[in-house]
Amino acid sequence: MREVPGRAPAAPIDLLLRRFGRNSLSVAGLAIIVLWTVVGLASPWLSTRDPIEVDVGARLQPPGLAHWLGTDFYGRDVLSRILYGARYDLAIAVAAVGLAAGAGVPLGVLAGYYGRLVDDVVMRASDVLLAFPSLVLALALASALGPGLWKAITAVAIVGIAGYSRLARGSTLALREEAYVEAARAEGASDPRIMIRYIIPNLMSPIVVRATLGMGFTVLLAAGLSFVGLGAQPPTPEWGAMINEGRNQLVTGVWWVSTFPGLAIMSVVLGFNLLGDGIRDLMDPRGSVRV
Amino acid sequence: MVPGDPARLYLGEAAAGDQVVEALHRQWGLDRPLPAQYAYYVRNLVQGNLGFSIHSGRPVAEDLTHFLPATAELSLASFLIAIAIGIPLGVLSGARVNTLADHSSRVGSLLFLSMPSFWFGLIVIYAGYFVLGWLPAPTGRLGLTDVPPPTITGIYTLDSLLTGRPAVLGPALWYLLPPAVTLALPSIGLVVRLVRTSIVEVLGQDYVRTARAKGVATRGVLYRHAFRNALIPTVTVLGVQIGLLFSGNVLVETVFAWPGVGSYLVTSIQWLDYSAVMGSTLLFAAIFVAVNLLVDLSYALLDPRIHYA
Repeated sequence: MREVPGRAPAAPIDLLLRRFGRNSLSVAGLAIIVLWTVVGLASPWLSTRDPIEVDVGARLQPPGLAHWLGTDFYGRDVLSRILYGARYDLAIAVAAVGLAAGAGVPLGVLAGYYGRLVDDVVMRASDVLLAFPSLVLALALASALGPGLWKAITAVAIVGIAGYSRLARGSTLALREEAYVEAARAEGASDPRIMIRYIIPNLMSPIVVRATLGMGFTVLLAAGLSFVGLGAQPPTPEWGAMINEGRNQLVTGVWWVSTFPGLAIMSVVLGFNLLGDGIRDLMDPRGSVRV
Repeated sequence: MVPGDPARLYLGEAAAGDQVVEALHRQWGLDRPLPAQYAYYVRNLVQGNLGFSIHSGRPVAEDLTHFLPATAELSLASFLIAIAIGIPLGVLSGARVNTLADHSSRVGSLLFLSMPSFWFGLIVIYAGYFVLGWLPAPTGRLGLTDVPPPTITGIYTLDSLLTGRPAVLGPALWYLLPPAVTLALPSIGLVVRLVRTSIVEVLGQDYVRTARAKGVATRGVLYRHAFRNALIPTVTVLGVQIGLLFSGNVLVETVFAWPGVGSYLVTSIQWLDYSAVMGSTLLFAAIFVAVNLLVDLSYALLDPRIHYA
């Protein structure tokens, strides 16, 4: 953290960053996420083997010098597959959370801004989504859409929409009454302009917090879909699918094919959880406890 | 890999001629337009008819009644484990903030919350059964040679006591333990975090300070004054998060071959057995909503200020 001595009162963002930097657990979380992002982006250069290249001669090799984390049933290098998998798992989570927020926020803003019928329709639809346990709903949707990466992302995104629409609606109800919104309306700004220029930018910070907190859970959800054969399809090196591929060989003593992708998932989710906790503490100082 | 046509999947790859497939489509109503299929489903649904399962060959409602007790047993067991371990750990953590005990229970609970339970289940099976031989094989609710007790509730541990067969109780608990603990871990993580936060918050309240000033011992402050008040926010969030438990259920049941609604749902997905998928999804939703209602009602027990007229 860069500290400038004797400076005038710090801007709020500097204060926030400094407080974030003091929380070593959230910095660790951020480091984990940055690390995995770099790994994902640089996987072609970091990995020693082609993640989907079949090598029958090297099937089910235990971890060793040639293959640090061993090879799977098709002789593919587990380490290379995990490195490439970082791309898939992170991209899936970002895409699903992005789609959920991208659909949920406008719906919530419309509901909060117009009220009445729009509000009823959006909110009752959200209630329906919230009536299902998330994984169960994601499984049902993904099975209706069929197997495939984008279909699984869509299913996970739909499950997430309701959370964002409710949050955005709540903020909109408050923002709608703000003086600057009234001023904009008096100036003759149209409804879409008010929503896009004045309301949406002001409700983004709770949305960002929720999105960060939701990333870890989304990774778990998507991996769960892949684990039962929906979502990423073979030979895609997605971590949940890899755990599934190693599952039948566990009882023959081949533990490495399933174990390592699971550890990868766990570290990413842990990173997001630590980071999310830190960000939430920043936004809501009441929740952060210092005794 | 799930192919696209339930009829082809049902008939098998090679065997199916186009005529047979079409006949099956007609029989299952798959040749009709989607809105008509939907109307048909809803009409049956309101009459309590969930349709017919392709892969089991029985009505879906019958299947669900058959598989529900196993899911109930597993969920209840893991809920009890989560409460029994999570609440004391959370209180400990909250009462001794920033001690070693606090840090380890916080890090532990975050780890529990961060791991995929289906993966942990596989690790438990590999290490506990395959390598060490301490835990039972993942054969479901009982070993292959065990005889289930006569059905009263369908919950084996309960039925073995009700029908006076304590001999089955041992194996029933023994087989229940690994999946129940696996399923409980994320919930333990959640409970510890919730209880810790609320204990810390409550301990900062004026009435706690007053109690301390009166000379009430720390233990008394904690259990008389702090604990009960800390439970209300805990129960609230726990109620909302109970979906986590049900979500975990589906995959953990699959991993341990536990014959519950979760395994049934996954099998149905792989068979493209849509009536069964819809039926089990609706059942999970119904349970979820019912549990949330129970949580709301439980506030009145915890907080005497709340009354439901």
